[in-house]
Amino acid sequence: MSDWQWFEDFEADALARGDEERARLRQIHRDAFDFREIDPDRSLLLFAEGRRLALMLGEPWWVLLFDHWRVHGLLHHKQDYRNVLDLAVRNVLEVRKPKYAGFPQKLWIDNDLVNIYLNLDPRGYADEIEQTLAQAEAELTPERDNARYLLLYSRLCAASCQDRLDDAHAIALRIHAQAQADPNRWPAEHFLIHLCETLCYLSNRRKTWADIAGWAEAGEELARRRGYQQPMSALLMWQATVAQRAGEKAKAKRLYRSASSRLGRLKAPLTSESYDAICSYHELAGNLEKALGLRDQQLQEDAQRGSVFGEFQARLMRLRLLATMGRVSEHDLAEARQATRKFRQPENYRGQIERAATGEVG
Amino acid sequence: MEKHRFNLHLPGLLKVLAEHLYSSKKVAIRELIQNAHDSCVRRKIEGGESDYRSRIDLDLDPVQRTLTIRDNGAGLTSEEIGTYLATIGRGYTRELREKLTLYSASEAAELIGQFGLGFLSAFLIAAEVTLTTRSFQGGQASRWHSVGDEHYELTPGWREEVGTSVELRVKPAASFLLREKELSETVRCYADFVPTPIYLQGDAYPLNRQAPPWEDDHADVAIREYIGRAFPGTEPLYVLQLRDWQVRLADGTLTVPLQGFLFVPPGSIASVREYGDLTVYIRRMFICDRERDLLPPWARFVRGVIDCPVLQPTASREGIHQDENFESVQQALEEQLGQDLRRLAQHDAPTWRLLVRGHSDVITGWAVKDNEFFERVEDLVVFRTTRGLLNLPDYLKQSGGNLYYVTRELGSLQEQLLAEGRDVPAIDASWFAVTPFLEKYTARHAEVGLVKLDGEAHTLLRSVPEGPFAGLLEHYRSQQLRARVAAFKPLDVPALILYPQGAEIVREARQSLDEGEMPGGLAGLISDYVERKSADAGDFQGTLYLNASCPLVRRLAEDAALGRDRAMVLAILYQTARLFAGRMLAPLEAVGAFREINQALERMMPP
Repeated sequence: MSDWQWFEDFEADALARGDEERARLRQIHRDAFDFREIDPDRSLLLFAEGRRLALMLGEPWWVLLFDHWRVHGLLHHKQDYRNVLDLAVRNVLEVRKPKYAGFPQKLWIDNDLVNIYLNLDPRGYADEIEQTLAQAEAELTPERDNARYLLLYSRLCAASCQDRLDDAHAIALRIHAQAQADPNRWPAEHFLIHLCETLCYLSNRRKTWADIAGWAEAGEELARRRGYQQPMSALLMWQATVAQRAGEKAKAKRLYRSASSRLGRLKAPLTSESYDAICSYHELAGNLEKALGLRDQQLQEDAQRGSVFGEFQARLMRLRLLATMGRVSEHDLAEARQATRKFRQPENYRGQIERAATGEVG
Repeated sequence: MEKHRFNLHLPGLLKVLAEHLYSSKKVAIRELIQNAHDSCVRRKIEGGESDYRSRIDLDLDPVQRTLTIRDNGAGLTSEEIGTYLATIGRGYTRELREKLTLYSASEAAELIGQFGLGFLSAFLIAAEVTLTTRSFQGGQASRWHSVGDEHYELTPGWREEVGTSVELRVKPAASFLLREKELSETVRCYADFVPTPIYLQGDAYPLNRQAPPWEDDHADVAIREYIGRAFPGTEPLYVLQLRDWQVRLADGTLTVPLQGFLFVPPGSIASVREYGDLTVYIRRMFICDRERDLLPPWARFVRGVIDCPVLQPTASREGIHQDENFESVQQALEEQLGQDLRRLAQHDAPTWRLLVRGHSDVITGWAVKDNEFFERVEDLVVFRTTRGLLNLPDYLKQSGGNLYYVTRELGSLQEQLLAEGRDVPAIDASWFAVTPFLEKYTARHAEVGLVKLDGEAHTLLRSVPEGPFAGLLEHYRSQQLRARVAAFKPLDVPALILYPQGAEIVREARQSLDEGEMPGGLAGLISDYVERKSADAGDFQGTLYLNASCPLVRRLAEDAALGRDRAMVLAILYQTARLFAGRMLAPLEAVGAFREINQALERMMPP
C-alpha cells in the first residue's frame, strides 16, 4: 500500500457506505493541505478540527495523521518551534502502540522529530539524527514512496545545516534523479518543486551561481503547474537574482516585483531560503541597507518563533553582511556568540561565527 | 500560411457529449423539460395569442418502455429542426434571449436554455428518440428520429396541436425513470420553480409548484413552509430573504440580481454537522445543491436557496463557473448576510442569542479567522464552563476580570476544582478553537487577563509558611516524595498532587525508553527530550500539596497525640490525592493506591 493509498481507500469506502462523516475526514485533510502555504493558520485549524472529528468517530489512525500534519504545519509552514516538540514526541510514542501496526505514516512521524532536532542543534545531535535516519531507511519498503523522499530530504537538510554543502548538493542530485525516474508523478513533482528551491539556495551558498537559473526556471514551471504558491514565489525571486547578477536590470526588477508581491500575499512567514534570495537580490543591486533591514527582520522572526538554528543562520548572514559593510561591532559579535549557547554543543558553531565576522562565509 | 478545417467524428462527439458531459442520468429530464418550457415561452412571446396557456405533460408507458414529454409550445418548422435541433452547440433559446435582452429583459429572463446541447442529454437515458413537432408558424408537422448515431431521419409527421412531443425509448440503465414516484421526484428536484405547469399521466394537478416561495404574497410564511419541506426536520432560527444588491467594484458599482433566502438551522456541530451550503437555481432551473463556495467561509452555520441569473452554469449545468460574476455574487451574499446579522444583533437580541448559542462551536472557529466577524460575536459566543454555558461578559463578572481555562481533553477535574475553590468558573477550552478565541479576546481587551490552568494550577494556591506543617512534610519527604504546603479552596480537599505540563508525555517516554521500545537514534532524541523537560519543569513525579486551610490537615499538624494513626491518615491522604489526579497512574498503580488505603484503614480499625 502506498503512503497515501489508504486515505483514498478510506474515503471511497466511506462514500460507498454513505458515511458522510468519515468521508469528511479526507475532505478536511484535503482542504487543510490546500491551505498549508497560503494560510497556514487556517490549515492548522482545519487539522485540529479533523483531529477532533476523528476522535469523535473513533478513528485513531486519522487522529494520529492529523497530529502529524499539525506538527508538519508548525514546522514547515508556520516555522513555529515553540511548542512543537511535545506534540512530535507524543506522536513518536503513540505510533509505536499496537493499534498503529502497519500505519503507513510511521516514518513520517519519526522524520518530524528529526526535523525538530535539525533545528535545535543539527551538529550536536548529528549522531542521533544519522542513526534515526538510517534506522528509518532500513524500515523502508518499496511502496513507501513519500517516506523515501522525506528521509532523503532530511539527509539533505542535515548536510546543509552541518555545513557539508558538497554532500548536501550530492544528495539533492540523488533526489532529483530519483524523482525524474519515478513513475508516480504526484510525489515526484511535489518533491522536485521544493528540491529546485533548495538547489537554488545551495548553489548560492556554494557560489555556483551559474546553476541557479536552470533550477529556478525548471522549479517555477513545475510549481506554477501544480499551483504551489510559496515555492513559485521563491523561485521567481531566485530568477530575479540571476537577472540582477547578469546586469539585466529591467528583467530583474520585473521578476522581483512579481515575486515579492506573491510572497506578500502568502500568509506564511518567509523561509530562510526566501530571505537569502531576497537579500541576495538587494546585495547584488548594491542596496546593502535594505538587505540588512531584512536580515534584522529575519532574526527577530526566528527568535520569536523559537527557531534556534534559524536564528543562528540569520545571525550568521547578518554578520557576513555587516562585515561586507565594514560595520561589525563587538556587540553584534558578542550577541552572536551568546546565541550559540542555545545549542547543546555551542563550540560546533563558534568557528562559523568568527569566520562570518570577517566576511568569509557565504 | 495554410488554414485547415477540423474534422469532426460525430458519433464520438455525440457519445462524449451525451454520456460524459453529465454526471447524472436524471439531468436529461431537466434538459428536456427546460426545452419544453423555453418553447412555451417562445410561443407566448412570438405567438401573440392572448388566451394561450402553456403546459407540459409527461406520459409513461412502462410496458413499451417509453417516456414522452409533450408541450404546447412554439414547435419547430422542418427548417428550424435542421438549424437548431440538429446543429450541436446552436440553440434557438440563446439567440432569442440575445434578441430579447435589448428590449424585454423580463421576457429574456424567462428563457432557460443556453448551450444548444441539452437535447443531446436525451441519449443519456434513451436508446431511441422520436420528436414530433408542429410549429405555431404554420405548415405540416415533422417527425425527427435518431438512435444516437450520426444520422437522423426527418419525415412528415402527424400532430394535431401546435407543440412538440419527445418520445424516449428508455435504456435499461435508466429504468428508474419509468417509475412514477422517481420521475415525480426528479421533476420536483429540477423544475419545481419552472413557471410552466408540468402534469404527469394526465393528473389534474401539476407536479411542480411553478413559483419559488419568495415570490409568494406571504413570502415569509411560504419560505418557512418550503424550508420545512425541502430541509426536513429543520425549524430555522432565522431567515433572510435576499434582494438585489449593489456591490462596489474597482471602477464603479454593479447591481447583482439576487433572489432566494438564507436561513440558520437550529444547531450545528463543528466538523460533523456544518452547513455553509446553498442550493442554486439559475432562472428557476435547479443547478446544484451543497454549493459551498458562494457563502463566506465564516458562515458555516447558514444554509440557503438562491436564484441568480448572472451565475454562469457549466455546460452540463451541474455546477457554476467561478468567474467574476461568481465573485460578485459571493460579495453580495457576504455583505447582505453580514449587514442583516448586524441588524439582528442590534435589534433582535433574543434571536441573535439563540443563533449564537446553537452554533457556538462553528462561530467560534470562524471568528478566530475573521476580525470583523469576531467583533460581532465576541461577547455573544457561549463557552462550556464549570458553571454551565456562559458568554464572556457574564463569565468575567463571575471571575473578577480574568479568563481561566483548561485545555486538557482528559482529567482536568483538579484544575476545575481549584478554580471553583477560588470562586472562579473554569472554561473548557479542549474544543479546537476556544483557546485561540480567548487569546484573541484578551489581545483586544487589555484589561482582561488569561490564565491557563493546565500545568499552572499552582497559581491558584496561596503559599503559607511551612513551620507548623514541618512534621507532616518531613513524613512525606522521608519517602522521597516532593511535598509542600499551601492554602487553597475548597477547604474540604486535604491534599492534591499537581504535575507540570507535559508530565504524561515524559512519563510515557521514560517508560518507553525503559522498556527498550525505541531504536538507537530515536532513543537518543527521546532521552534528550526527557532531560530537557526535567530541566525545565523539575520533578515529573508531581508535587503533593497539603492544604493548610483544611481542618483535617491542621489537626494532623497540631495533634501530637495521634501517634501511629497520623502516619496512616497521611498515607490515605497521599493515595487519595494520587487517585484524584488520576491521569498519571497506570492501572496497576491505581490498584496499588487502593491497596494502601485499605491497609491503612484496616490498621486504624479496632482488632
